[in-house]
Amino acid sequence: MTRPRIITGLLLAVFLAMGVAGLLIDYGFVGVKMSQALELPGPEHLLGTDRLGRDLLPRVLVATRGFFLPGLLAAVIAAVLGVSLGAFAGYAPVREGIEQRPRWARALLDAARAVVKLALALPAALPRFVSIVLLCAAWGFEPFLIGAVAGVLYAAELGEDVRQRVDQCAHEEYVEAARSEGLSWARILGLHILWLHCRPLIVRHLVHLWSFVILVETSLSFIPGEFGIQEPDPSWGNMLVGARDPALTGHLWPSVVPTVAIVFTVVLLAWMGDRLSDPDDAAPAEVQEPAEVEEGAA
Amino acid sequence: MISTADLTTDDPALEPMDAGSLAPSPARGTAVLEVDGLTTRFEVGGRLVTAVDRVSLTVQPGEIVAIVGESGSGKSVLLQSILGLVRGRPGVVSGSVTLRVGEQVIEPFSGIEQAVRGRAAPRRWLATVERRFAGVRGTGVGLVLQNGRAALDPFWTVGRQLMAALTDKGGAKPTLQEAYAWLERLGFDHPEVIAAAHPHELSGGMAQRAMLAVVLAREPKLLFLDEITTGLDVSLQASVLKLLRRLHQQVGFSALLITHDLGIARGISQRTVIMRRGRVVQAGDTEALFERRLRLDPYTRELLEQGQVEAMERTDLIEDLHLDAPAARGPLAEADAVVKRFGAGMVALDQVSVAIQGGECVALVGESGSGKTTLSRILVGLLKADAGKVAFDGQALAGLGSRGVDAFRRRRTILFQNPYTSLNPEMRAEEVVAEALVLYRDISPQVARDAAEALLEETHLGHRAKQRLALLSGGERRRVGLVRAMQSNADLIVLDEPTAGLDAVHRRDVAQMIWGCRSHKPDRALVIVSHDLGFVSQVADRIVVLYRGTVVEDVSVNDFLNQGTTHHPYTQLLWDASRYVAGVQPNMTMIPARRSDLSEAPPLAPGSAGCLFRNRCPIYLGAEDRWSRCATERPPLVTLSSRRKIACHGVEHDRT
Ligand SMILES: Nc1ncnc2c1ncn2[C@@H]1O[C@H](COP(=O)(O)OP(=O)(O)OP(=O)(O)O)[C@@H](O)[C@H]1O
Ligand code: SF4
Ligand SMILES: [Mg+2]
Repeated sequence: MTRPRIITGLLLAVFLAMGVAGLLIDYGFVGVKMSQALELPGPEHLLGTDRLGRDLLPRVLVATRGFFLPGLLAAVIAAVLGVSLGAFAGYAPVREGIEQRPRWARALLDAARAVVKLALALPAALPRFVSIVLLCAAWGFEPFLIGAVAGVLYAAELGEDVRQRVDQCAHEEYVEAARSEGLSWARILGLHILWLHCRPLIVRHLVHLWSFVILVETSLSFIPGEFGIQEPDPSWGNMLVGARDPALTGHLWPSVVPTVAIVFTVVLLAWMGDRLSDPDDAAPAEVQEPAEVEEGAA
Repeated sequence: MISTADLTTDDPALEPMDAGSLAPSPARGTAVLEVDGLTTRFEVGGRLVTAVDRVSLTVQPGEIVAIVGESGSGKSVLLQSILGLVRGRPGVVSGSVTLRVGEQVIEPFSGIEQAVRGRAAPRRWLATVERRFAGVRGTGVGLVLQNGRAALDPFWTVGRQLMAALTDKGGAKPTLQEAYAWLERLGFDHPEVIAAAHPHELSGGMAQRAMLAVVLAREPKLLFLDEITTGLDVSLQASVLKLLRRLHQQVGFSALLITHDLGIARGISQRTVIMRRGRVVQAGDTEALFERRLRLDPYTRELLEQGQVEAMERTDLIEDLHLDAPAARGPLAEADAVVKRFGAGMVALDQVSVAIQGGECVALVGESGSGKTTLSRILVGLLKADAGKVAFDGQALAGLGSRGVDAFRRRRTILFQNPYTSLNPEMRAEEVVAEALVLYRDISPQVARDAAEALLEETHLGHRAKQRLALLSGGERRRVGLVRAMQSNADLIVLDEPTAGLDAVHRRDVAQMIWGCRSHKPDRALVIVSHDLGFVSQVADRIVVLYRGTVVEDVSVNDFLNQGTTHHPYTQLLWDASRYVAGVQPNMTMIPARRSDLSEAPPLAPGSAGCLFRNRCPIYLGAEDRWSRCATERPPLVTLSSRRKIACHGVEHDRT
């Protein structure tokens, strides 16, 4: 294990722990105690309190409910939709000789692929954030709805990338070799192409999608009107909004807590996404340097 | 021979030597390339393994230095280290390298923290090295790699890449004619067709030559050549070597040549460095080395002896397998008057007929682009013939229903020519083999994995079992692919170039594998596509010689090796060339002096009238009047005996 990998693992663990803690904490009461408003961190309130005297620690954790599961939902939707559509539209291996299909079958498949390809290309033209805001305005605000919509919109982008990669791999000779031996298409597509060659790409997209959902959820609170999670339920966005007045009077601490939480999470996810697509971990097929390593006096 | 077990490092014979310690060391300070104590280590599975171990060498101006070593001995990594191209893998490079090209003196590694480990460091390091090389690479230094197709830009036509190279060289604006001239020099008959082609439209050997043309067109001062002749057939190997030697005399470049083939080193280099397991075990003047005027290291001696044993003596082993009884049933696989065209004018196969009996091992030989791969692909149904009949076990392939296709697929296996592209680079070696075991033997994945490991161990690849193929050398990948293909229980197994790029020791391994595979299932037919006549005559029963898409000779190996037999002139040429390259026959006397060099042979389009070989034929050339038939009539494939068919007017005449 290399050091960066250990660090990534640790940070990821922190992120997951935050999400799970947020789900497990019993946050039935609001806990307003004006007498303890705007306290700095201390033994009683580990992260201090906000302007209504509410403990910031449980609030900052519970706020993850706004995106943790919805983000997961988005990732699942994007993964299932994007990977299956992308794989379908992209997997057109060379078929010659005995493998050749009847002309009408080829035409039919090609047409179906073209339709899916178009369907994958269209949503890319939609501004994602605006689409989500409009949908929320129409259907009412609901974190899982945001997650689902983001997942569907993102599926197109993921699907397009998967399609291109699958398309590229499907023309490789090892696919032809595997097919000629009689390996099933499920194994070739699933293992040889998706698992071995597309996995880093898919994971990176899903990580980015998750941080996108966080940003959407946080920013919605800033839009005037009934957007985002509403008080008294906490979200990192509305915690920031609520911390604005105290900040004007010099109490900065309540702003610091959600800000750090947002920056930490988003930066962490972005970093992870890049790490996962790093060529060192996922050596691309095009790099064909023969390595000649001999066991020596290591 | 090379197994993990004997990887001892305290063998006194293997103590590293300075390259100059055996030969009188040429003065330093003037050398074009000076490498001192270069060591490269990689992190593999958490351990640091040494790929290149304290290597020192120099290349003087105008000198060609050959580095010889078996597959995996660290030759390619040494080259990559010198050029700062070791990339992607965490590793450590230390030692010093000095390049003197023209007026420039470059020390790419000096003053840099060279302990390259982890992730961030190599990039910073590489960026510096990259900067120092900029300006030198491209014009002053040329690099020719093992895998020609990968090194060419897939989206540019060959002509465009050549023109770019000529433009880079500077001087007057290049003309198309100049580009064509370079292609012709590398033995292309139709430079305009090749120039218009994209790399994927070329056969393996053609891509290799195209890449050589692109690099040589820049007229570099210092050339790095990594296994440049690996994908070439013997007659081309001979002509590329000749070409390089001629250019070397004319231009006087210096070169560092990497090869696994002592014959090539002998043919072209002034000094030879022998590497084993990352270390230099022997270095010295090439002639002195071959004439054994030097104190020889044991490994070098073994290599030299192997080369001689290889003098194409057919082993008795194969005789046990000989199936003299002609097959009662019809042929197992059959091609009858098959024609295959690519694009409009390109005729890859022209009226080719071969029949392969069960239990037989047939070799398809011929130079690059002669249609060997195309024919073998048609036989296994991966390509469709444009005309003619292809049948397997009496059934026409064209008429197979989908169930028939499934059954057929199980009854034949093919090992593709290119080990880089035909095996998934992301898979581990043992997974590659285990997958085939599960497929062919119907055993559980766990059992298969253990069995795969044992199989790789047997073939001296045990230490590579857990590595991704992307990290294996070309020869190692080929062997992994071969082990995989050999697990098949198919009735017909096609092996496309099973020995390309392998040294003498590993070639013997492959021959043994093939014998084993035949004795395992005696009625199995094997087709071996190869340009290595020496190897083929050891393992095959019958040899089919292809020239420009036509069969020119179809002969049993016994007749082939029989001194008294008259052969098709092309077969004779191939045979001589293979002995030349193997170093058995020091010069190509048998090849007609006139126009023997492929690069000077005028083009003859496949599919044109008359004998396609006549512009290189020693019978025809000089006696054009007597053999006027050769220019007008395509010689038919005539059966001379049950074991020999030949398509040549001249040989027929001999008989009558
Ligand atoms: N897909 C293709 N498209 C166009 N031309 C092709 C294609 N495949 C092969 N050819 C041409 O057909 C001819 C025969 O090629 P083939 O690959 O059979 O040669 P080969 O004898 O196997 O040569 P090598 O020893 O270099 O592998 C060549 O001229 C080649 O350029
Ligand atoms: S047919 Fe004529 S030209 Fe062709 S190989 Fe025979 S003698 Fe030479
Ligand atoms: Mg070939």
